[in-house]
Amino acid sequence: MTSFGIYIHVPFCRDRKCPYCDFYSVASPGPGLVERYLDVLEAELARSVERYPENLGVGSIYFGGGTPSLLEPEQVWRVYCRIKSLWQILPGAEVTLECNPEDLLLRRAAGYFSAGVNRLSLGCQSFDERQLELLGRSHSAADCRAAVGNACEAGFGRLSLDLIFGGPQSTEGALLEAVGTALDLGVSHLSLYGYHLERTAPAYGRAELAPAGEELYRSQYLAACRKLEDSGWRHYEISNWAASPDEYCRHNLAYWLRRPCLGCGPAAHSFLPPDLRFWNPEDLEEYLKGGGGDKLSDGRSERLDSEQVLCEEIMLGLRLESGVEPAAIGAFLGGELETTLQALREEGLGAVSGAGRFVLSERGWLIYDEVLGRLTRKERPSG
Amino acid sequence: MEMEHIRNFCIIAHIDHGKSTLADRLLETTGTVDSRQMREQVLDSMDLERERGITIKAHAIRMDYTAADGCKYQLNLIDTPGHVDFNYEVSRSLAACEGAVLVVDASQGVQAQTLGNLLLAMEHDLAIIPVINKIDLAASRVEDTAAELADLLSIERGEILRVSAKFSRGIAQVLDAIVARVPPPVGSEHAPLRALIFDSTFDTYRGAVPLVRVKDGCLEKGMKIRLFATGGVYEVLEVGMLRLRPVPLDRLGPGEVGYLAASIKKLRNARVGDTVIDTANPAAAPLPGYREVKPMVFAAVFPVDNEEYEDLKEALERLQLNDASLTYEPETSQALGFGFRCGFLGLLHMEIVQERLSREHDVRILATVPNVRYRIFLTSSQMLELSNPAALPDRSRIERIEEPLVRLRIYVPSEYLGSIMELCKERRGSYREMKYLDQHKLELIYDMPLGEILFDFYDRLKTLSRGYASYDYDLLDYRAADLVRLDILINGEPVDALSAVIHRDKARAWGKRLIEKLKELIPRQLFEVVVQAAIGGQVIAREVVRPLRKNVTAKCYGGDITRKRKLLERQREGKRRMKQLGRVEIPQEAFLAVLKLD
Repeated sequence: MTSFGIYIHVPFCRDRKCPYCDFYSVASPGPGLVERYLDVLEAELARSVERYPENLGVGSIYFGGGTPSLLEPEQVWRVYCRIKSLWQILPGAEVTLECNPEDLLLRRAAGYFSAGVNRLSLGCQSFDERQLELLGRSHSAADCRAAVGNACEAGFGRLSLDLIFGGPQSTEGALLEAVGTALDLGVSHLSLYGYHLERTAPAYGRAELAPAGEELYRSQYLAACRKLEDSGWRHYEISNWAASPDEYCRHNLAYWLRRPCLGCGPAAHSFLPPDLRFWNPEDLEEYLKGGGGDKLSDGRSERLDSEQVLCEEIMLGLRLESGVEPAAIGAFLGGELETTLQALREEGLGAVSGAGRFVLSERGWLIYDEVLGRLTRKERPSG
Repeated sequence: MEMEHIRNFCIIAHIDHGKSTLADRLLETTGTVDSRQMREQVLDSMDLERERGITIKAHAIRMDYTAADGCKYQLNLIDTPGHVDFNYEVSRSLAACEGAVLVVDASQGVQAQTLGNLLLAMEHDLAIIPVINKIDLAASRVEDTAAELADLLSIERGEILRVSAKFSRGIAQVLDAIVARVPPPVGSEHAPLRALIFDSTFDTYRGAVPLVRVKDGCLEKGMKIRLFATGGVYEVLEVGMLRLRPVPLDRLGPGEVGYLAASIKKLRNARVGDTVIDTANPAAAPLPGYREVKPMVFAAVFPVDNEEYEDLKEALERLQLNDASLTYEPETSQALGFGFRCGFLGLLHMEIVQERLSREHDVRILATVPNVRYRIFLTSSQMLELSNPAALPDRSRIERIEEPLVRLRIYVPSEYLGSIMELCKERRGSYREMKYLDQHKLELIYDMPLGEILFDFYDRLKTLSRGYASYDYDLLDYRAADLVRLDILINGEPVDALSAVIHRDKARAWGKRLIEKLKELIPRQLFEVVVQAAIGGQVIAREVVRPLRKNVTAKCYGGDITRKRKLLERQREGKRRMKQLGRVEIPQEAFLAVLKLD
């Protein structure tokens, strides 16, 4: 390996958590807490040189959260500099920061740009006021438009928007309108997430916040797929689209292609190919106490066996437009490989591409979990 | 010992009426087992027996008792399985006794099993000692029960003993009554040896060890014996009596009960009911009553994991060492792979075997719904016995089908009469007779196809009578019936393991309910699943399980990968437990759908 990605988890949110979100974050942090966090984060980065040696280059940095835009540009710069002091940041490295639209005033956008960030991911979620309210967002549709404008003016050429579909009381029309707005605003990347509530999410079980039914979910997803395809966009991952391959999120691709990644901050996960995954405690206090310490202690790591590696390759590969080698699936299905793939093809769920790889169709992606289970079926010698 | 000082007796009781507890007290009072060795239900040695309060195997234990007359007596308690499934074994145990202690729970009164076994005991001319147990219970109805018993046995109430086995009350009186009322055995020491095998145990080192009751002559160590029915000749290596453990003796004389070891390799060579004779001085005729036991209920058993086929085979082999009435033969199902069709004496026997397979032998099994053995009379005038519904020949080749018919006796409080008769009618029973046992309790007699009893009859009976009704049955004969094969098709392919032979009048409703249940049990999946019920190739009902429309983890980034992979592992494990038929995945519960019909 020659390069790796760094993920920085910023575990803070302004005041309340969005009711559908179950990522780890702490609301309303005081300034002292953020500084303490940054100190430990720096120490953690420094210690990580042990496993990610200096001769590696950093191909991407991703500030995710939580709400990374709670960090001042100076604080982002501090982290960027620390990384730069430890490793070479490769030319053209992608540096993304997730941002709440209401935070992105022009001055702030310019500050992030100066701090080394060259790509913003804006959590717009919708351009419909009613939807935004139901999703518990504190910004308006106008804030989203303004944020995009400020980002462009500050010099950002790479912008991504997050949109949510299949949410409470959502409609296909509103989704298509939101996608249209995003295209009009000139962003180059879109993430469309199906609204989903984990049992641990605050909105779980509240009738007015219940997700749309499965048929509506399907029609919204497929309609968005159509519209973006008609606009010449690439649907390169289940939930991600880009105007061109140059605009693919390289940091996220590294996850799906199982390339090395270092995750810092509470709850962040790291991966060293081919088989080592380890992660930080999902608790800010615990992280602050021991964050700079040995990451492989306390049972927060796993060494994958060869079957698990293969499972991951299929699990992640099937999410992508590039798909997986049929042979990898064959390792599980044995003699049933051909008939199974043929059956999937007949149902329009997937097909072998020109490059000889098995790729799911958009309809296949809608039932990706089930397809995945089927294609990695545990071997059972039949009678 | 002189025969006049020997008493051979058994205890008969309905389940949970206290048979095992009373036996424990007898052993304790006679000093056969000291309190240190005492644990609950000494005789029921299998965990399963102790847990379920049933006796599966017969046992025999010798007690010494000095009676009120000052003489020392040898009391042989022969413990019998009480369940209808084991009627033949029970009859052989009874044939080894001269008396029976009839235990009735003071709060429950006389129940079907009590009566069934009592009738058997009376057929064997046993002296009956009626005992009312659990007189300590608040809910006990001692006098009502005494009246019921006095009526039933045509005796005076004064002859009925009242005990609390739990609190050791009245135990000496039971022992004295055994000495006083059970006649001593009759037999000749000088006649040629005839000993009845009433059970056999299996020992890894010694092979089959028969339990015997010597009727005539003597059984001695070193003797050459022949088993009458199977013809095997063996040298007796050891004879003895059973305490808590075997105690070797030089000989067993007439009237005595004990065991013999003779390197009999297999249990089926020492059959219950067979007669042991002396090759040097052979008796001309065997003891009466021997018959070969035939299974009545059949079910196919498959390993959950096909890789465990060999384990299952081995487990069945080992079980059969201990249980000669279990039969099995290989069977292949398109749906479930390689397995065995097993024959059982009845439903309880089936449950016990299935439970022992998973518990004692740690094999995870999938068993099909039980069925009876049919007699198929072909147009070619051949007859074949069929225990696998899927193997039923084409209709055009069948002249008629016969099914086993039983005489069913139901004991039920009169207030539930209506609903029980309704149930019997629904189950194709023909009413024979009704008797009042007392003011409240009735005996209902029906002739009913055995097949109708196999599906939840017991549960229905209990539900309809709030637990009060009980039943018992004997095989009567085979009778022709308008039976058809109901097939279940999944995406057009018949699933052999779900085929059933069923009466034509019921087939349509049955098929409809079954596929509705299957629709509930088969999860939505990648492809559409069409479930059909068909009779003789004609589809009578159809249900569709729509394919999945949405099932996707939308976000999967760095921190989600481990969690998602673990979910996948769980999902894969779940899928592994499903059987794949073509494109369709069928959960195991679906194969038991028939048992889950309301």
